[in-house]
Amino acid sequence: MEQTLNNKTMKITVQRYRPEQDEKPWEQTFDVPYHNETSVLEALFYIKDNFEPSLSFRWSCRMAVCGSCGMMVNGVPHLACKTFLRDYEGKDMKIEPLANFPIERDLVVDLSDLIEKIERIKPYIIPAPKDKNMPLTKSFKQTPQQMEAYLQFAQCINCGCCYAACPQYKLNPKFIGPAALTLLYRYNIDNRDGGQKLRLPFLNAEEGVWSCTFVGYCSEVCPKSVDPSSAIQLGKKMSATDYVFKMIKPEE
Amino acid sequence: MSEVKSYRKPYNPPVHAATWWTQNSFYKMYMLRELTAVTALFFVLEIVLGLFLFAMCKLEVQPATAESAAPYLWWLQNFLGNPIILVLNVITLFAQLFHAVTWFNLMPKAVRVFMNKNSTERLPEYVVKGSLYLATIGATVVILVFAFATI
Amino acid sequence: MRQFLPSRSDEPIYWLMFGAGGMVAAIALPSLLVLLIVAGLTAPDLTSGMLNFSQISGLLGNWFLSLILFGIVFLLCFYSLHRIHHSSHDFGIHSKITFFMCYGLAAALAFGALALQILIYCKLF
Repeated sequence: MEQTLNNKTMKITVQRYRPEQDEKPWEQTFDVPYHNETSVLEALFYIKDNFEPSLSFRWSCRMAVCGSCGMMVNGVPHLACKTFLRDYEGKDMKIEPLANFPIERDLVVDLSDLIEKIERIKPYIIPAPKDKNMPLTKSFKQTPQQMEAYLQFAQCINCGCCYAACPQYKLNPKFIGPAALTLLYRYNIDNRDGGQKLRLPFLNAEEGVWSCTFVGYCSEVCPKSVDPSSAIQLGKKMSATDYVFKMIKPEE
Repeated sequence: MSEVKSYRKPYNPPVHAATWWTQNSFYKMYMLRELTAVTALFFVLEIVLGLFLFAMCKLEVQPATAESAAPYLWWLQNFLGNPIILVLNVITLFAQLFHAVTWFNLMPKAVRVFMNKNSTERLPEYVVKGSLYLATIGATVVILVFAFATI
Repeated sequence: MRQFLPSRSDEPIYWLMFGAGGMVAAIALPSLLVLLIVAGLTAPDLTSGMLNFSQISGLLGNWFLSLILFGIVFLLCFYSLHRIHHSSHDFGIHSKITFFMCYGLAAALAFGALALQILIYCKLF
């Protein structure tokens, strides 16, 4: 790395929090050398290797697949591995843990609320009663269009960036939130799935799609271009249709 | 079982419930967009006031005289003609144009239609947006022509 | 783990009215505001000028046009106050009181306008 660092450095401020000794977070600034291909994650590696071995942050794949390294870069949720210092040329950089989540240590946040919400909406294919006894050797049929309908919403890597971007989640932590609602919609429109009835109560609830006011920032920051705000609007249409149908024909 | 002391002490950053939207321009645009609804309410109040004053007129007098139609004429000349109300109406006009642009920009997200039964190609965004802008232009032409033709 | 299912929200009713009203606002409001501004600039009277007395008599004396006007006012009431209700939440005010205030005002304005229109319609004939 050292040979290619043609003398460019950036002032990077990292928010620190050590639960065993700090009451609240504080900031630490480093001068980090970088080149054209340095990502924020690599800058953090550099800080950890050369200045501050105690700095904690989560990472795994380094290629925007695992969703571990979500953090706030200059106040905007980003994947550290997919964000490059060259795009901040001439500016200072401030790295903070993902907003709207409890901070565990330094840049590590507790995502268990997000995980619990994703679990809650049953993000897996539940076969319809008629497919229940389908032999394992037989496969479901799906046309390219049926796949295209949900494929974009299936790209979510649970990084939590949309939750950090969502003011409604900030104001009301009960809100199921963008990623979980997107997955809910994704499974409900999958033609192989028969579990719509089990998921609809979570969609129809106040803390389901109806807490969303279409701010649209989740779609703006999503590193995988999933467009959660679109899925939530489509979910609202699904919920409203269900509401009207149930009004005309109440469940037995 | 070894005794391990837990140092866990998750820090919950304070929530600024009233001022969160000041932190970036995207949120500010969102707030601006939401607050255009206040100008729509202002328009409704103007119309309801006009209707109320129209109902106050002595409508049985035919043909109407300046005296029998006095409340409505006050609304027309003194209320709508008032410079403050005029300025507010111009602000409302621009706010509603801004509302229309933001509304139409978001509309393609709520429409996910395929070109035909077998295609994986979706209805392009410009078709959705374009037809909405055409609807606004059409409605504007119809309303203005109708209003000026019936003077 | 046993899960308690959340109860269904009645938001779809308000949301559908909000959606329709927002669309009406985007499509029809700019031109209607132009009419109000033109009327404000030209000082109309009984028979001449934009929104003059006899023009509005013709509008409100026609049940079909009057109904369209009511439709616009009704949807705009619920659209604007729905948004204001959610904005109050965005400013950190969450309570049942703002809910009743907003939708109560919307209903009062919308049905007040309808009552006035019916009154005018009856008085004109």
